[in-house]
Amino acid sequence: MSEQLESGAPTFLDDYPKEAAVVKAALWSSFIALALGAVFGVIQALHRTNILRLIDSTDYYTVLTAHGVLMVVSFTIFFLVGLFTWATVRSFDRGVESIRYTWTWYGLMVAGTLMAVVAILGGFVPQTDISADVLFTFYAPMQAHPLFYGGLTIFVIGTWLAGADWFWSWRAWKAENPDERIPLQAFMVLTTMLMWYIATIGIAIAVVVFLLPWSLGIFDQINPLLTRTLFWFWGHPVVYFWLMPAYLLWYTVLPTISGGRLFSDPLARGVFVLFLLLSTPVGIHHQYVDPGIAEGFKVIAMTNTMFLLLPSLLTAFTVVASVEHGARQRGGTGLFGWLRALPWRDPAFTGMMLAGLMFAAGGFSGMINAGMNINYLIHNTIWVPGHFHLTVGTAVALTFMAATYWLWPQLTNRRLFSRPIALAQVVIWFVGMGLMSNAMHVMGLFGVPRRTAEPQYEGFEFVTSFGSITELRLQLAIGGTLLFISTVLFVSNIALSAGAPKLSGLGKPLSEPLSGAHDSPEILDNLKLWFGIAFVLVVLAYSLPLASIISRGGVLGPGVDPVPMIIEPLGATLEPLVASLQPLLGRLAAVVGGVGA
Amino acid sequence: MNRTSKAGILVGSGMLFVIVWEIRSALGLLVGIDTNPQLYMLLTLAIVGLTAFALAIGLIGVTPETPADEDTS
Amino acid sequence: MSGENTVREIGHDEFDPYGTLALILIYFAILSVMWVFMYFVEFLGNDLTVLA
Ligand code: HEM
Ligand SMILES: [Cu+2]
Repeated sequence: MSEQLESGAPTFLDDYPKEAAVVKAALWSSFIALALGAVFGVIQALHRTNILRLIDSTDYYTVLTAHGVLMVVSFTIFFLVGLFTWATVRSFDRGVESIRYTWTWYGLMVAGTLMAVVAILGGFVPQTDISADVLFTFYAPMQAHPLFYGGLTIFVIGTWLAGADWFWSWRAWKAENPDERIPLQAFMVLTTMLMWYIATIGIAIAVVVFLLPWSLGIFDQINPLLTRTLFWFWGHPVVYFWLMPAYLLWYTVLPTISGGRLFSDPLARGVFVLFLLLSTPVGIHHQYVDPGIAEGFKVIAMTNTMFLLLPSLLTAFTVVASVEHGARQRGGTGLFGWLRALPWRDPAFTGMMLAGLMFAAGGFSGMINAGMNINYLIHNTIWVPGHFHLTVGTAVALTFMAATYWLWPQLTNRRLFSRPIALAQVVIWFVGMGLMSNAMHVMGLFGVPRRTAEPQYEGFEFVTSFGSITELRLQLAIGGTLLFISTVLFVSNIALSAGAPKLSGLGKPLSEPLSGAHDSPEILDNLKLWFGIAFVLVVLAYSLPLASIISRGGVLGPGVDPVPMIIEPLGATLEPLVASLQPLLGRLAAVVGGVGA
Repeated sequence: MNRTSKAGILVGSGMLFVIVWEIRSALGLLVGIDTNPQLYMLLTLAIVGLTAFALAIGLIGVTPETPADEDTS
Repeated sequence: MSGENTVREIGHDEFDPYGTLALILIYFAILSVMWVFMYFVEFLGNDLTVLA
């Protein structure tokens, strides 16, 4: 199909072959993580619905940890570094300063991932004492093998160096273009990385100062609430770290493929600045039910969270307006009639639009999560995975896949193996997620817990206000299976594209914004200023809560025993006592596993 | 005839399916109407199938000035 | 820049995204209705959640 007219322009691969190799490697790392993550995803979906139990229920947390970490750490962040490298090089129109350096940070990220994944998969091998069944929310008292924390640390250092790479390009570019505005894509990359530098302070302290020494046996106890709070210090902004590359694509690529131009460059810059300022001082909204944090701090976090709605609504408006512009240029008319004039046959376009639609739906459930009281209704139920499979699991994941259909030919000089399959793939994802997420939301309202291998209990039945739990389980399982099929179609389409013949002229230039950078106030480009304000806001939001947590429990106290026990703290004489405590600890592990947002 | 492309029918059917099916949850949760699941699923599939069929043979569907998705990319 | 399928160029001044405005308003209306509804579910359907 698709007698598409190629632009005849040179591709990214033609212009920057060395950088294209790094981008491709990063994207492949991302897709491998996605494929593995999808295998674990479908295992879970079938297991917890009792349709097909391939694994032992005691291995469920190993699977769940692998799924969570591979999806939201490896898949998303590898895609991000690939995309950001492309965006920086493309928009500055200059190669990286040192390709060796670029490969170095990529190598660190791969090494870190392998370490963490080995530690997680070790959970399947009872003969080793390596395991990391700590879920992707890896705070205490869940304890992992040091390899896991080490891997994580190296991975994060890799991302720091990657950010430095892009700042380095910026400095070099600025020296040659002192009076120019930062190109939009580069601006988005740099503001996102500033947010990341602030956000990762929390996780770096949690891992390097507390969790790693604790799992090495240097400390025998740490303050669980402290590591939780430090985790969520990072855990909320990380969702914007997943989202910002998708926003970059919606703002800078989607308008072009819909046949139009970005509505407003200044608005886009403003949105990224707002995210830099507001992403971090909200993390406590994941801790609404944590005892030990005063209600007042939670109210502040909730208020900040509501402010975060603003940049998201601005984004919805700007992006949809740009698409409408495309539709009208293509001849679309009417109040809604323009929607018909859009290039729905293009999998990149349709995928991104469906992703955006699901994100809008995720806005509904997000609103419920964010409300301090209403949150109690759904906290730790499967509603929550229902919500974030719409946001990170579709708005982000489907946008990445759709964008790949657009970007991949420009990285390889080969056409996609099959565009019809690509189109079917994005639609299957949409339908699969429609089913899985719908079932998750509804079950959550009926009280079905998340993170549970066998959510069926003796002498207890969930009460449904309509339909039945059996039916909802089936719906979840069918949806999960469709998602798995969709992932397989995506990855194989990309892999098979390697066999397509080499072509030239597959480049696809991006259109200029309707209202360009020169219409925006210079101050938007003052990155130091925004970084400074963001930092102050974080200090304001976190110093009191952290001070109170530490003053009450101590830096390392009050402490609980690690779960699972890896290093025996007690001598052999106390062994029987410990053994008698095991069932209790097991129970604790089950409870703790269910805690977390 | 056949003004709606295959791609349009595919994408539209996917969206229609999700919307119609999720109305069942909305009815159940918001209004308290418990529809029969098998029947509702059959109905949903019938609506989606008939719409797709009608679009395919050109019975319904609109003709914008420019054919809807003669592609760019 | 214009794509191959551009029927007419539309510049900044001739373009008012009223279709977008309509869509966003619809979204906002649904959002508000859902929010109000959830509020009733939580506060009128059940006993009050105990704070602190
Ligand atoms: C291949 C399709 C997918 C399937 C079948 C799937 C299935 C599931 C299921 C059933 C759960 C809930 C398990 C439980 O709480 O007991 C879950 C959790 C989760 N999923 Fe997915 N998922 C898929 C794709 C994704 C994607 C693309 C992402 C993110 C990019 C993602 C991120 C997560 C996360 C973060 C969790 C929570 C893990 C935890 O509670 O620790 N999933 N997934
Ligand atoms: Cu959050």
